[in-house]
Amino acid sequence: MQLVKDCFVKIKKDNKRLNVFLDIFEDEALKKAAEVDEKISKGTEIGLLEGIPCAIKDNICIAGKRTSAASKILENYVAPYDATVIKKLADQGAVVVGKTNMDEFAMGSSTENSAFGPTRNPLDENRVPGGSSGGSAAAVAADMSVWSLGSDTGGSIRLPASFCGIVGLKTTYGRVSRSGLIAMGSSYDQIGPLAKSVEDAAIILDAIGGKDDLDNTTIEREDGSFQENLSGDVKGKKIGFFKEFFSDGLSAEVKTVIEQKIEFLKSRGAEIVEIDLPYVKYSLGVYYLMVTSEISSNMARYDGIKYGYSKQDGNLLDVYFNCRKDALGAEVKRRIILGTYCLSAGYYDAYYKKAQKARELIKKDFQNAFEKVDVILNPTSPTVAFKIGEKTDNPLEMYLADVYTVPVNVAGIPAISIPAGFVKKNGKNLPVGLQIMGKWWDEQEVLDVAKSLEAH
Amino acid sequence: MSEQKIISIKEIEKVASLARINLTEQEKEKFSRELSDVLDNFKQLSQLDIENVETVNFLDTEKNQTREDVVVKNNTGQKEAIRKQFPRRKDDYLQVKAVL
Repeated sequence: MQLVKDCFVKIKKDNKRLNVFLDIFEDEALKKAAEVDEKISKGTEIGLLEGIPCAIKDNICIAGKRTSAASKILENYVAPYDATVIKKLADQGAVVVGKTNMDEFAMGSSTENSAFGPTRNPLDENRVPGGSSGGSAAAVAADMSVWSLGSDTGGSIRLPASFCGIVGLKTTYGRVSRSGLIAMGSSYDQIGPLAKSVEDAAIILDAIGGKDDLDNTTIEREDGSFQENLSGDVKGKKIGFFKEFFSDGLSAEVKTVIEQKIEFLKSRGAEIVEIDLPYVKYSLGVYYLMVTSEISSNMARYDGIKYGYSKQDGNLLDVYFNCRKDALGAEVKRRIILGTYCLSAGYYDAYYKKAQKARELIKKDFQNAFEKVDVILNPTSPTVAFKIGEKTDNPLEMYLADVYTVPVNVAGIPAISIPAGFVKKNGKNLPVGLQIMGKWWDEQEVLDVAKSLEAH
Repeated sequence: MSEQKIISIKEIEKVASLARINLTEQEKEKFSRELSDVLDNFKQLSQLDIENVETVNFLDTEKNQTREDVVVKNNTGQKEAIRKQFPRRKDDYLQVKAVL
């Protein structure tokens, strides 16, 4: 109860300024906390997540609650069902304090594309928290919740974790059910935890992962508890180092911080192995061609017919055209247009089909690399958090912020971002994120190496 | 002499129509410029010579996952929760404009 109350004190003090939450559930949270306290006082054993306050990104459905995906088109949409991950968390007794702000429909890297205003980075309020799960990251960094859920299609958990100085995990594609997640790029999306420690992330992963009949891309796995099997020992481990991840565009200060961590791993008995990933340089291209194509398909359902924003003037076509004109943001429109173009007759082969094939080559690159190494290490982002408004006039520059995170989604492998240090800018300490990628289904290795770095 | 953009304004108009989005003149010009930049940046990809590439299957599945085709009754109130959000409703029906 005290923990939950403390979160609400923080929320009341800072939420208006930082714009972290779109909806807050104080009464329900306090009621749930009271129930858990009662259980504790009776001596009943409680679960690891029971009574712990968490925040949920607003593209994950909670039955009876507004789920807006930070868009005007769903401003009044009330989810009629729980996402599978929400059901699982409810079973574990987790306490949801509210729904967090995000880039509209998860499209963005800074949370500036929200229809309800940007979220500010708690560590420097003139800067972005990253995106698209910016609200979820800020909630944890600002102590408004102990942990949160986000979603990651091209880096949307890892980038905000990096900018806000916390841990963010994107699991193997198929590890966590996407049922109840508002779809963006269906062959890329994954829900995952943002937390203050690697162990917390492992605990949440244990709770939310698993095969789900409602999501046919999830698999039956027998991996055991990631949290119980967590070890921080890197002796003898082979850490992959890809030169291209450390060159053009990477800020010198970020590079220094990451290099210090590499030295630490060496001192702990890990071996740094140089690897080559020849097709990975096409990842951003593959991503922006394929994901926008999937987006154009997934966004077709927002048409003002069954739910959401609707203007009933004119004929049927008018209803479609006006709804989408009025209520979708610029970035969403931009990606729908690009995706529709890439899929349209005459361009499908040159763009979408090419991107699909290149995707297979990128997967093969990682497959080959993981025969030589256990994990691959690189910076999460070329820079620390940028200023609000700094990249909004240049979509291409915004896309380039994803250069290190996107290959992970293209391949479908797991990756974590952990805080690695700080860079001082304008008198503030801005966090640097370090990314560890692992092979398919090998979240344990990723978490283990991450845990060893926490000791530094 | 204006530069030939990869996606012309006319093409933006055509695609916007397919995507059922009304764009302003300003938006058409902006998207034509921005998206041409994006595609230009990724043109290396479209020039890759990669015809015969086999699929890498990381989902470990050899066959499709299927279930029995049976009707499952849903009395949870979900249906009414959905109907409540119809922009136009008549009894339990969703009302839409005439298609023809």
